[in-house]
Amino acid sequence: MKLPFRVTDASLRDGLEDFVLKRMHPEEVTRLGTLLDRVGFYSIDCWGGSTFYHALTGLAEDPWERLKRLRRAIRHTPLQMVVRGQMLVGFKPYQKELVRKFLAKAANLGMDIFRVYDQLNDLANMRPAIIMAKELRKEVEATVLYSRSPSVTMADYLRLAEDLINVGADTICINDSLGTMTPEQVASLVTTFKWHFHQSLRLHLHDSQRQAVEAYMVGVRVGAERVDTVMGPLVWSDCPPAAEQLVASVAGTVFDPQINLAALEAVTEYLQDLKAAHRYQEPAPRKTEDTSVEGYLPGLLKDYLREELRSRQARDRLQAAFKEAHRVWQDLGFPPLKGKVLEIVGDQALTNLWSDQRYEKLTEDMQDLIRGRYGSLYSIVDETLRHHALMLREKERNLPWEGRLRQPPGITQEEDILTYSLFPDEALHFFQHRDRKQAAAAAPKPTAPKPPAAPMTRLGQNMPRGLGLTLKGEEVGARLEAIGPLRGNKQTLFITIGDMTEEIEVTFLDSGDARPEYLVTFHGETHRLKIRKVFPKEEEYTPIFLEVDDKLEEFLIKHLHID
Amino acid sequence: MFKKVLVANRGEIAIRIIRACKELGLKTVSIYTEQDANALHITKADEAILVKPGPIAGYLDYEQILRVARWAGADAIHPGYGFISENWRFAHACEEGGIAFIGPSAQAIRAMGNKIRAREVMAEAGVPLVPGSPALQDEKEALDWAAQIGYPVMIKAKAGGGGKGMRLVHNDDQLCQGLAIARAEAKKAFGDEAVYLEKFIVHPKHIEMQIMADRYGRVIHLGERDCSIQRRHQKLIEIAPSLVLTPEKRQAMGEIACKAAQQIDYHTVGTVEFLVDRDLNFYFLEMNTRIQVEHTITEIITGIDIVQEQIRLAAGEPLRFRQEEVKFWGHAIQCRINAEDPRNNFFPSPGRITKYQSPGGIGIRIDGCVFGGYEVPPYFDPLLTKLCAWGLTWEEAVNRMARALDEYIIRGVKTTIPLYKKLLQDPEFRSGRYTTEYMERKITELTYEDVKEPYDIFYLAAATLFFEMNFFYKDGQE
Repeated sequence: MKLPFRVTDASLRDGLEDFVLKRMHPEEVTRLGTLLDRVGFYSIDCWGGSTFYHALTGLAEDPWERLKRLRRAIRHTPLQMVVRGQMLVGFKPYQKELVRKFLAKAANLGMDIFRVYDQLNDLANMRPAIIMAKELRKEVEATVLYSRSPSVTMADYLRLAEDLINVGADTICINDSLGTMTPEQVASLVTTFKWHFHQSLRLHLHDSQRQAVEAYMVGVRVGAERVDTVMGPLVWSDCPPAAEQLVASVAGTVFDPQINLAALEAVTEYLQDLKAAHRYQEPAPRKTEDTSVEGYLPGLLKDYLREELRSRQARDRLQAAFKEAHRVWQDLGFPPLKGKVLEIVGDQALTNLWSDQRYEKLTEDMQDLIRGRYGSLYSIVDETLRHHALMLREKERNLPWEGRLRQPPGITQEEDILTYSLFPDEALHFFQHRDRKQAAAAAPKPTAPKPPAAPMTRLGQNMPRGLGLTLKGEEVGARLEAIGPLRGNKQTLFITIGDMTEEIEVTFLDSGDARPEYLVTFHGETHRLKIRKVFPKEEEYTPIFLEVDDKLEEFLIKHLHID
Repeated sequence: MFKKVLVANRGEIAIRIIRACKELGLKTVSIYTEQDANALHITKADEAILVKPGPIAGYLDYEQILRVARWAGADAIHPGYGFISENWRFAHACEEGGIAFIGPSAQAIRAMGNKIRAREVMAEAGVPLVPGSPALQDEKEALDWAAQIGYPVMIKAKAGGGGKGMRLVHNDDQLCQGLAIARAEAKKAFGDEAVYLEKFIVHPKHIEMQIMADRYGRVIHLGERDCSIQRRHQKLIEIAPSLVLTPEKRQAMGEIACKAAQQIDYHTVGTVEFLVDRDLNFYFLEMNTRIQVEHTITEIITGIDIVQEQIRLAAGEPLRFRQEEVKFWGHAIQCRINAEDPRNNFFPSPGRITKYQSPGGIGIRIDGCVFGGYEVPPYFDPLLTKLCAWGLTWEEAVNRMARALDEYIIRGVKTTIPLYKKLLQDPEFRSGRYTTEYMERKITELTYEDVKEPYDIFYLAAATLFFEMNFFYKDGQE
């Protein structure tokens, strides 16, 4: 019997990022996979997208190992991943050879379904990935991103869907990552699609406005075949709705997707226990920006603009700057002003203010932003910006590339080469960290003074090892412990007085006199010494005049024969 | 409370923070660059992670530090002082990234990081300010402001701090010359060439107030520190409490400092710095939104562990003390033992420490990061250790410090120990009435001999004789 619709679980990719991608241990991910496998989902969307980069940089876990582990744990349910078109799992279009190799490796390791997606609905970016995934004989879904731009119409969505199907997509996915589609809009879109195309249709709606479940219900009634959900305990503000909620609302009706409810409950319980075991505290809800208020800007951005204008001596343009910054932010689709994004919006607003035309000049950072470097921009509302973003992409796509994949020294495993080709800096850091972990390096210990490297210089047979020195009535015994090799006119000696052995370096200077001069370095300080006169031996002592840093001292020296 | 803290710093402050965390039962992660591979702070933490590139950029790359913190599972980062401790972008990135920043909010750091803006904010709070100008656009504006303020004036960098990017001028010619140089210096040091003028208070004292605030609007002060012994605006010796402030003045300054903190919704710990003239009028200088090098002497006279309190406050706990519960007991002095040669213009003196013996006994505290055999690298701040002495009276504290300096043996590198030994004998220092120009004036008088230990001369003589005997008379002839 054909089921009314099927459910795909996206917990491992789209679920509570702070927990799934930053806290869960590998064994816990494996266990979750095993439990999800029993539920009867259509597929488990568990890899690609931002998980690759997060695994590498946040978890210090090899993303390929993560995939292998999931495949071992999930035996009965197809695995699904998100591919950002030719940008794969990164932020810029990669050369086709790398795209082919990456997709092939993922398929080889057990990936069954590739959902190709592009935040700008750029067909040119999605085409190579779709074609190559089809060549691997895998199921390919292609995404049509719902845009808030008022200039995008139903005809545009249909045209894009048609193009994607012509390229080879088996399924079309309607993706609303901002969660703004109303149930009516969903119904309208799905009906129109179903009217024009016979391919399967997936709905991937985020529940930010708490209307996704209703939208799903409406969508499946008019023909959508697949929907994406996340397990209840992993739901957050920016993801699909809870599976439990959806399944509960259709249980017993003609739209029942025949999910194993007991298995589903087991997953929920496991996740709840896991969060408790981690003592996981939900992050504080993000302060909602009241973007509907005309000209609203967060305080930090206002401060930033105020300062920039002060330094440009243009404080009279403050209000205009605020307005322009709001517009730029709006054009970008009100992304969260996290980290550098705030400065980028501010700088671009000021650049627009000083240009004849808005976006006549884009700052370097703004170009990076619209490339997706600082996180996905689900919909750039402004067409000019979107056009710029596509132009940048086109330029990058047409850059000449090296004939083969980059291979870092000492790295031979194919997966590592792929990782390195995607994110060279992060990969190197990760490899180093991995090597350290594997070697379980101990913390380095403080270095001790180096003993003489070469064998001891042979002393004369009758050469005394000990000297008694008397100065101003005080007598000490000095013992020669070891003597280093002669390096030109320099030699290191180890001398003990009392119980303290010290390292002393002596350099002999040929001053042309009968008696040489010496530079003696002791505890980093260098002193000049010269034996001025040696008197005849009196009893057992030999008096000598020794000049130390131009000061004459009289010593009485006695040989001490020490074995 | 946090579980694991990443210490984004090096040297003695990293060890200080690790110690505070250990006492609180928190795990610690330290970071180090390649050039610091033999540093002590690595061995004190539970984990140590290499950051790149060395020697310094790794400690400044906050995005890398955040990544490392996530890898290590740290839920809080303590930035120490210097490096990224007053980088508002870093604090903002921590806030956004869900990792606690042990310090105030990004907004507060930003407000106080810009020296001109800080003055404006303080003026709004009714904090007395040194007469000054806004950021200068050109020479003419500078000359106009200088005429208004009255010479001598100080040219200061808007984004500066820690005594860098400052220039004193006495007339129009010097101002015109100094302006260009100050801009260039500021651009190099802070990436921002904006400068402003401030009246130079003649012979002031540099007195700062330690404040502590929680997230619930409560602020207290922990008394003052007198940091007037400075050379080129780098502090050398600090004392607590100051010998010139009356209890009323202390209270007034403390209240103003708390008000300043409240003005910017400050929390955790910070220091409000003032200049104090001969008549004990005080003027806001700047606010440091981090733990200070000299926090130690305040800890000694109050008995409050400031670093621990800072961590607690960052974790959202309320202040544990009321103002009336803060008591001051005795006097404390701190000497910064730097690897510098005071006789050679304080030239840095890196190298291997061939002998290290630290002093001890009642009332002595050492916060250090060196040991016998340690290679002092040339890339970083030359601070080796901080030596503190406490006494019931000022006299006792000074004598104790003198005794400790006598006991302290650090050989292989030049240090400031001999200079301090000489300085502590100076009656002007002992009177406590010195001002910020004291060091510049006295430095030429404070001469001292080389560091010597009793048996040095015997070692030198023995080495010379053994060498000669071996070199010239190998077959044993005499």
